[in-house]
Amino acid sequence: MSVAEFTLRRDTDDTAMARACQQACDAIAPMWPLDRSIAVNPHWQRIGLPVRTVAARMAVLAGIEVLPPRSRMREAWQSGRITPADLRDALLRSPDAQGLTEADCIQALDQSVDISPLPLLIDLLDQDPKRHSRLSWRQAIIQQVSQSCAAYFDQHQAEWHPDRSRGLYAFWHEALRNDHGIGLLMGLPRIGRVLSAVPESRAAAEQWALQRLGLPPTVWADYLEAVLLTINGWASWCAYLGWQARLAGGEDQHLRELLAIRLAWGAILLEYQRQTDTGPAFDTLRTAWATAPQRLAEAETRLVVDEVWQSSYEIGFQRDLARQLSAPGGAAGPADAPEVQAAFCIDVRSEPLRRALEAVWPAVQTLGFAGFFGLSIAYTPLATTARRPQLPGLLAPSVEVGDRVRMPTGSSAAAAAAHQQAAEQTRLNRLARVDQWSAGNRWPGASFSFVEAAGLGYLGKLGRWLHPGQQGRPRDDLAGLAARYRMLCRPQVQGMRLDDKIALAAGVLRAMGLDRQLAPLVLLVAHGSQTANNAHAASLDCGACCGQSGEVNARSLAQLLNDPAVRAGLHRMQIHVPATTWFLAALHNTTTDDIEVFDLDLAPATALGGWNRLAPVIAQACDQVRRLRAPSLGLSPRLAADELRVRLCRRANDGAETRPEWGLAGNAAFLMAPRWRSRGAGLNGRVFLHDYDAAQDHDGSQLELLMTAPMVVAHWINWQYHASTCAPDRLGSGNKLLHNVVGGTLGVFEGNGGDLRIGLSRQSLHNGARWMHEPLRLTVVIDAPQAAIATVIAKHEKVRQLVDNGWLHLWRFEGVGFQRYQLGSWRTLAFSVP
Amino acid sequence: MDFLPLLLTSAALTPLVAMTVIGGLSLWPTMSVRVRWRLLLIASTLGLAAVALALALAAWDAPAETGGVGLGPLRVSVLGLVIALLVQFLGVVIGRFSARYLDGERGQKGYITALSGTLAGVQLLVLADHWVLLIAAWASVGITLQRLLCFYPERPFARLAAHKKFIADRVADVLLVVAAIMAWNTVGSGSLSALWMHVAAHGMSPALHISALATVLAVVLRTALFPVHGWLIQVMEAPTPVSALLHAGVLNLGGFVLIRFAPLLEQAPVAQTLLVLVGLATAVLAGMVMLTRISIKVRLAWSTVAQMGFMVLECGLGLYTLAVLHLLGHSLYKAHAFLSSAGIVREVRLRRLRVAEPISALSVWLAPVVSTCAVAVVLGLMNTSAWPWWWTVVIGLAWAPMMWCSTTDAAEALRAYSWGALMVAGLALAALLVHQVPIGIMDHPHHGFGVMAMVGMLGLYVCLVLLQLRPQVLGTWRRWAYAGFYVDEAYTRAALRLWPSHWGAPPFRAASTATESLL
Repeated sequence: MSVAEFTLRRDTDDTAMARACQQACDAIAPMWPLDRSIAVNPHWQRIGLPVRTVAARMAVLAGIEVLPPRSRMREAWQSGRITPADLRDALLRSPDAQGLTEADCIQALDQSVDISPLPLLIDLLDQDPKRHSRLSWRQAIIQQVSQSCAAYFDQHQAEWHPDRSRGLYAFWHEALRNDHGIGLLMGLPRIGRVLSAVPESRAAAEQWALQRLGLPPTVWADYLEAVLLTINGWASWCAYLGWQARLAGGEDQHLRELLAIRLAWGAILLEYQRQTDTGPAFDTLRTAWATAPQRLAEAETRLVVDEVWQSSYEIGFQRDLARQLSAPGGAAGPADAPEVQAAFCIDVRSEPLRRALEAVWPAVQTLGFAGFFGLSIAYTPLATTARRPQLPGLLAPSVEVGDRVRMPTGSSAAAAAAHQQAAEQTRLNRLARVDQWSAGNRWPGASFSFVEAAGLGYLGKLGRWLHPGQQGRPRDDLAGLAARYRMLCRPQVQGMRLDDKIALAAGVLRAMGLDRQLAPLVLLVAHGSQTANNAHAASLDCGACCGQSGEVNARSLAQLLNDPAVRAGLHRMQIHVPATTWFLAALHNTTTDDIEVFDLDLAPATALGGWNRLAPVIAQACDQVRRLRAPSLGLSPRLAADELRVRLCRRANDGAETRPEWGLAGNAAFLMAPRWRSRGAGLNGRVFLHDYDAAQDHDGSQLELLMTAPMVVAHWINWQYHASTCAPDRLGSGNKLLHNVVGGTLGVFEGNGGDLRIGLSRQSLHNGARWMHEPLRLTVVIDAPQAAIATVIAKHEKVRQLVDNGWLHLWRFEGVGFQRYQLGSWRTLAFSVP
Repeated sequence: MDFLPLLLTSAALTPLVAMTVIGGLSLWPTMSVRVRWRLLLIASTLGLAAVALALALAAWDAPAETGGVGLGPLRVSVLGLVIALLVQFLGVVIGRFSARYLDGERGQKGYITALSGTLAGVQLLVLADHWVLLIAAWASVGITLQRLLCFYPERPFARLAAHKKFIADRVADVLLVVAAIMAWNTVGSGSLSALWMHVAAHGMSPALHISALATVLAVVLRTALFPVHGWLIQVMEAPTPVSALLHAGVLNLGGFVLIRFAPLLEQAPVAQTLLVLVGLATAVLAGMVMLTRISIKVRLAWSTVAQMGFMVLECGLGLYTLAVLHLLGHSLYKAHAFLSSAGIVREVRLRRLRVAEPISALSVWLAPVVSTCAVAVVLGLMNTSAWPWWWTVVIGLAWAPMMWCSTTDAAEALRAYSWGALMVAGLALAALLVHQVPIGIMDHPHHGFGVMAMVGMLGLYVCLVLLQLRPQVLGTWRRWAYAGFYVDEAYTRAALRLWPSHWGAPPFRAASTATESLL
């Protein structure tokens, strides 16, 4: 080999390594921080592969279950939740299940899947006889990497930060070279010598480590993905940083650095043990990974049965769904001219409330729309810099919303400015005082003497744990604001020219179908949860508002649409908002099922009259919904209305309550259709409802928007619940009783440390006796022509992957029945008779 | 026996009996968990009411002033009752919290038994007036607590922490037995009251010096001070209320024992020097480590280590009243902090409403002066000398951060200083007022140690200032602090070498099968 040839080969090797590293990194889905925790499908970056292939990969690379565990399916089978007819239909629909009989499937329920994960280098070095009385290398390395990441990424917990300006890898490298802990803990006094051989740059480390592993290039990417999955939590955090960087048009290298770190650990151990004896471990690794492609293929075959059971489980639900939707229950149709229109979020928790509202007063027309109401905003509370996005995680904010102090009666511009300034100044002062006071227990020294003087004050705080109060939702965005300004401080769109405002308003009204036939009172109902002492509170809030309550979106939209100047502009665009129509922002408290309205003091008398007629209707509907929910929360549905409400309020304020509400547990379907398709149907709070009228969507743009945004958000939610249920230890965040918040908002550890945890806690899915969520893939039902749907599928790769690779089911209405989409064609939906 | 002392002692004994009965319910396996929780709540509330009554009686009754009412190996003292009241209150809160928090978990019956057992042990400990009772009660607290710490026995780190605590506890037991033998031998009785009288009458002997030293070492072990603090940091592997109980209701018993042993320790300079050194080092070092922690519960745990160091320091300095105040205040604060630890996300959200700006150099140097003056003025106005001058400086340094400000605007800075001074004065006043509550203990300040402690706290303050102004100077120091000075790694390794335990996770499944098939 000539020198040139050698260099060439090394170069291709280098790029192949870099490509493999990037490929592994590209497989990791992002996780949002706790204060913005929206649901994400942890396999989002793998949807280019069929579900079963991903299931096989996860099982072989990391021992993670993707399809429901067989024990769970056995329960469902034995309890009759899955009927023989469901199983039969599932087998019929599964093209890969040829040769498989019902008896085979039933028999498989009693066997384990028996797919053992491929070993990683760090596991193979753990075979010594002393391994029981020390940390395993896997634990020790995860701990070290995890603690380094936490120190590097933490912004809000520690007061004393290291220098992090040189990047994650350099930070870790420097920490490791000066660290004595791991050698001391693991009993490796000479590890320092090896550590000094670790390359200083990320790229060099990737090569250094991969070369030492000596695996064939074909399995590099798989091995690297397996390596990243050992530290999946932090990898997901790095992926989030990459996601945000891309939304802002940039790039982020943290994930690659994390991979290099984790990879380097394997090589460090190899180097260290080379001095002793790593021969067998090394050989085992190579032999095992040489068979990786076969192992993956084999696993995929074994999982056919599990996929059949997954489908049977879904068919059991779909059978009922189809029945409900093809015979909308006897509720009266909407009045021709509704007195009230109420737009709700598509969230599954809106469905029972909408049903109840329509039943109590048929003159109410309800609509379903993504809870950010089409406003791609970032919101900054008054006199602060705490800007936060209030839109789906897929998008970047384009509009700014801030608070304005506004009197109910008109006041001069000068007076308004004076009020605004006074409110800002008092808030700044108060927050500064709070800051000063909190220094008392923030710093060591201060807190020593602080507890002596002020410790008895905590008697009252402790006493409050005994009997939680009945107060309403805390309004954190108003913290520090003087009481006289709290009611007057209203979020509104800022820094926008009138033309842009008009265009925004027109777009939103058209998308919501509210560009015609407006009722005198239009409620924009956002939603939010109310929980206390809950690190995952944001995951109960609106996913379309990036884990916030939708209050800001609803209020700023109502303000925009009530603005006479905007209305005049709309008029010029042929959207006629009657002068008698008033938009009123409201919030559905999903924990207590209350509805609260905002800015009523700005409403004209006619709107107030409308509201006064509506309020008792809402109260009655809310009560009905509480009764529906009560049994799942261990409360009696026969309690008096007030008593039930009080109980729910106390639960919401109870910091010891790990199950304040069930969030989106049970979600299983997504309906994009006019309301008449589902009106009166008892969907049990399991269905996302988005209004869509194909007749008004001439160019198919609305459908395209629906299938690329709300459908993806719903799919993310659906798969977060699915994954957290099927692999609670790896893709769920574990036990709430052990949660330990990292970095103030980054995420949680379960217990002392270990990897950062993603997903939902066990308590969010399981009531202590049984699972409250059924891991079903979303059934999306669209009321649109075949061609329109096909156009969107053809145009958007992600949508095509979702439907073709089995990440969700796609149906459409056809006559009185349905058609289902399978691999590019539409088939009539039929169920065999049980 | 008069009616009053009888009522007093029976009221004081009520929580012990009540908690023992609940613990004994484990003998009745068919009872439902719901009923058990309810009984626990009733019994602990009853115990709380009884202790409150006992304390009222003791405060009103004269004999309490002079060491309390004796009843064989038990003695009811105001101090003991105050601690009993505190722990019983925590028991009620934590029991009530746990009943809802643990809903749906397995092992709730065992939890109830262990929780009431721990509370009963503490109640016995605060009444003990005999070496045997003291040692037995303290050991029993450790043993029942062990069950709570291993509430999830399948978690290896829970088992490791419990193992480390187990070793520390047993060594402490041995030390206490040594202390007891030495004292018993000298005094001729196992009674603690007899020991105090003996020391008062006859002074110290070498045996008593050893006894004092052994007791202090046992306290160091049981209170998780440097360098044996590691297990405390790792017990995040148990449900949150267990941490609250441990940090607020059990750990501080070391402080209580030190205060009870004041008559002996006052006469034992070696033991006392040890207390001051260990206490000061723990307070300063653990305080620094706390600042580097990245997860809320671990931060709270390090904060407890530092706080315990400070409490022990106060005992060593002879400031017993302050030590009691510290014990009470810290317990209440820390119990709440743990129970509400998941609320940190919301707290951060609120904190973010305010922009953190760099602190001005002037304010960090001016603040301690103003703050010390504020404390001194309050002392002067109240015309009292509750504590020595050097302690005023310690407090002034401590609360100086309340006056740190970032502004360069004079009016704004003045406002910040005024508010800060007001807060400091308010805190000093509060401390003074609670200091006046008669709990029947006398302070014996040691001025030499006091100046030393003051210098130590000054060092801590200088570190905090550097952190604000020139954090890069402390790079290496931070690395060591982040590593907890490697003390725990060494302790873990030594513990496992001396007393091996199988606690690691099962070996990697696939790896073992693969190796077996290939070899």
